Amino acid sequence: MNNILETHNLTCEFGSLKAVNNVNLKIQKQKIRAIIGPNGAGKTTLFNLITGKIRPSSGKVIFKGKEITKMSPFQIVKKGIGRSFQITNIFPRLSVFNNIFIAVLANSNKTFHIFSNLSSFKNEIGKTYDLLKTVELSEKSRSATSSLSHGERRNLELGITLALKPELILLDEPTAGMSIEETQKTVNLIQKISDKTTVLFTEHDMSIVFKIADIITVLHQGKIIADGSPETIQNNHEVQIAYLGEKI
Amino acid sequence: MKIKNINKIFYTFIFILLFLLPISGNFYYINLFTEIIIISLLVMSLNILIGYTGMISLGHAVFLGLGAYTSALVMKDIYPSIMLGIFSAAIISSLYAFTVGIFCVRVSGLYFAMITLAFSQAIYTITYYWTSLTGGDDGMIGIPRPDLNILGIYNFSLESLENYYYFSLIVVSSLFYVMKKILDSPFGTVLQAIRENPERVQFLGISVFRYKLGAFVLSGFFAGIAGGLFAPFQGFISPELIYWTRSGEIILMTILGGMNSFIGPGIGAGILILLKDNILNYTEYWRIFLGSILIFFVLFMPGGFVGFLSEKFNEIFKIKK
Repeated sequence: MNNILETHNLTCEFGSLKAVNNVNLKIQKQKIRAIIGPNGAGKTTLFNLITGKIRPSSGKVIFKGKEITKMSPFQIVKKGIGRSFQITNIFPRLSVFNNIFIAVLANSNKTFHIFSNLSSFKNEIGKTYDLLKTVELSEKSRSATSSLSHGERRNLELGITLALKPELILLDEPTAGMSIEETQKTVNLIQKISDKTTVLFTEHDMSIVFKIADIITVLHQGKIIADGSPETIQNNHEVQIAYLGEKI
Repeated sequence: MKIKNINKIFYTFIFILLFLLPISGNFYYINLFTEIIIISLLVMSLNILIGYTGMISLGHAVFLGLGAYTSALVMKDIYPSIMLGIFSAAIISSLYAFTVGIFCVRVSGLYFAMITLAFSQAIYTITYYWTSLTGGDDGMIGIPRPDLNILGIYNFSLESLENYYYFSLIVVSSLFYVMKKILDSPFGTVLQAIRENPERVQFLGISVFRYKLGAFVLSGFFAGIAGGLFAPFQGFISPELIYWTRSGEIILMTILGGMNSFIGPGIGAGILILLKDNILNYTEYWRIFLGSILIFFVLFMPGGFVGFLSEKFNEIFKIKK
């Protein structure tokens, strides 16, 4: 089985609007897949369908050969799909350390220990420090999250998602709002992650998409209009029209 | 010095003060502080929901009532043992929290507030009309205060005010220790994460529903014990214990003391009960003064009394978190 994730005729209707329309995706293992498309193309809705945040009107989501369509978000995470959000989604009043620590504990199923002291989880504490290092937040581990810059918060969120050791990671606009320097760091990080994990991401910055994606899928008005390597997509006429004639 | 150590010193200091209080021999205050100690357990149990998990319950008095009626009925009709009374209060209250919680914790925010209010008012009405069991509007009188049997060797009489005061102090302090331990555990940290961002917690692979239900049962467990202590303390109980204004009062105590700290709500209980008692000496319109004080707190000390204190303390001694 080479496809880690498949969707079959996935459709999501909001009233008369088909936000996602008959989408058939096949994501191969350990590749970086980008999903691009103009605003409102249905990228985030597609992510929400895959991760169980919303239920599809029809169609199926298959992960590692098993259907996960009707599972709740927390069950899907346990199966091995991690996700970061378009709008930074962290725990504002917990320390930087605890933001990741709680995800590490969740991953090792130790969150229901009600009489244990946090400091007794040596193994998890070690893992947390490793992750903080990966996302370059080691020096700020004891800080309040409110003191972090926008880019650092995005990295923190990535760290939370990585702590769950997902086999498939969904990143919704991972570099949105970042400075050039921060963007470069995040791009490097994504490439590093993709050694072990399958990455599915959306992005508005085309230079990043063409730089790191192995395969690009173009969504337009909820439908897949093109699918292929960066070169094929670049020369696809329909894609150029979808982007208002803008040559990409 | 670390925050943790300062807290420890602070808790020990309060405990010693309370332990020495009966030496004054002032029965009026011993009585008042027994009430404060018992009610502080109730308020702090509510703070597991409000301050830690971010669930504002408007029906918390129901647990006080359930605990009180259970322990009263058990001690009067089944077997006169204070420990049995308290234990049954905790069990019944937790069971109720579990059953009702399954419905309540599915919703959040205002809806959670409304559904907890509705359930508590339902229990109020049942208590009010089920005269054969609860005595209805007249309440229940003559609740016994049996001796505390320690390991079958020694009988500690709880008849005197001081002895019941010490008994409550020891029970409540030990429960605070357990509560603190739980709230500092991974479980407690998940609760705080749910308060901050329930959606993200789902996406950590954690069932928010189960943890919220856990918090609700835990809260009911501690609050039930408060009820179990309260009935023998007062000697009589009435449905008024469950009425929604009492639930509101518990929330006021939480805000006054400070819901962002562990001990805050307990201190809030002390402040409100003492204020009420003092102002009542001068005027029966105590609610006007209480209202003004509350407005002052909400506007100028949003972290409550304890929040305000620790902020000043940190400023003066430049303590880093």
